[in-house]
Amino acid sequence: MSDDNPEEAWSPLPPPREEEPPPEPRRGSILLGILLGTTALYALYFGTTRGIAPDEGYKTFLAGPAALIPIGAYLAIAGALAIRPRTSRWGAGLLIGLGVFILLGGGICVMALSQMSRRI
Amino acid sequence: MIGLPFAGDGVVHAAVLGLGIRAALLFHAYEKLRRGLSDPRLWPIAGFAVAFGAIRSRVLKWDVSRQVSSADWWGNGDRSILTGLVGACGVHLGKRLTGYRESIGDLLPPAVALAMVLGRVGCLLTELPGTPTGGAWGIARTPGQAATVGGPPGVGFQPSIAYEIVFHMAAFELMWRFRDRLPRPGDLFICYVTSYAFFRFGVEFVCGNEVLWLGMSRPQWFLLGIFLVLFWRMPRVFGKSLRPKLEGRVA
Repeated sequence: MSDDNPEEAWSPLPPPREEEPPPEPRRGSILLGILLGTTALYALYFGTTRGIAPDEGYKTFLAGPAALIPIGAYLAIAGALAIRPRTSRWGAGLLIGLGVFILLGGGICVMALSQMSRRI
Repeated sequence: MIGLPFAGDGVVHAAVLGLGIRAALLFHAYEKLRRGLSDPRLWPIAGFAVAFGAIRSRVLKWDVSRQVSSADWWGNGDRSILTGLVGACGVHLGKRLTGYRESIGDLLPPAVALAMVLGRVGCLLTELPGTPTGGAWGIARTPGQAATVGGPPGVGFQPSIAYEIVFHMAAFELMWRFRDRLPRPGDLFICYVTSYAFFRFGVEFVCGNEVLWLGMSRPQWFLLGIFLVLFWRMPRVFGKSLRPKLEGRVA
């Protein structure tokens, strides 16, 4: 014997659909994430200008393999934010900011500083 | 002969490259809109692609024989477009972590080509060009510039970076025209990477990069390995005819 409800089977109307839960609100701005991330990384790596100056012998606490620790931590945090729906825009911005920092490199900062010092 | 306008100027190089990245992000946003793609996971995937592409471009270019400090290499070291472009592991990781299953291989390549055009303009204005032309044409350096970027002054060198700019412009134009007509999703990426690999292999002969072995440079040996993968992937693209051109929005 079938368990089907005949009324339901012959009903001309489609069965009522369950209400889909509203999407979680997306917070954060990609652009702000890029700006904050890039600025933070530049500040971290080139904030101690004396420490990275070639004539100072690169005396920075980020010398050696320690140079990669902040990048690893940053990547983990940005990745975690990117995969959470609520913070995905922030995370995406921070990840792009990391890419911008690596691709532009120290050139923009070190060269600007050296040009400034030549003018002084 | 043409002079090198901003020899060794890192600010000019970074500024133009920054413009390239901005143009690529704007084009990516436009292309998402044009295709009607509103999935919020696409930006994080693009973020993973940019971040991991950049990391790869540094890590795989690290020349351990030069014995520079990690901070110096990380901040000012060389970057390789080739290693950054080939692989796309960041996209795969982003897709896996966000649970996105559709192919986005048609979405990214035109934006990458646009970034490459502008980024390479930055290289052209500031960097050492290719091998000597042997003629009265090419890019030359003043004695002061030669002291900064190396090489003899007053000699014309192959504008190999300009050749690359032309290639990426042509690639962008072709992708713009055919981006909705390839048989399968993701084919555009395969076509772009394959054509760039072939082009780069050829242009390396006039790039002036250090010869590693058998008259070929490090990038050429890297590409020989990549060709094996590409030869396996390319038949899937050209095994089927192009899709007819569709008017209006793409679903």
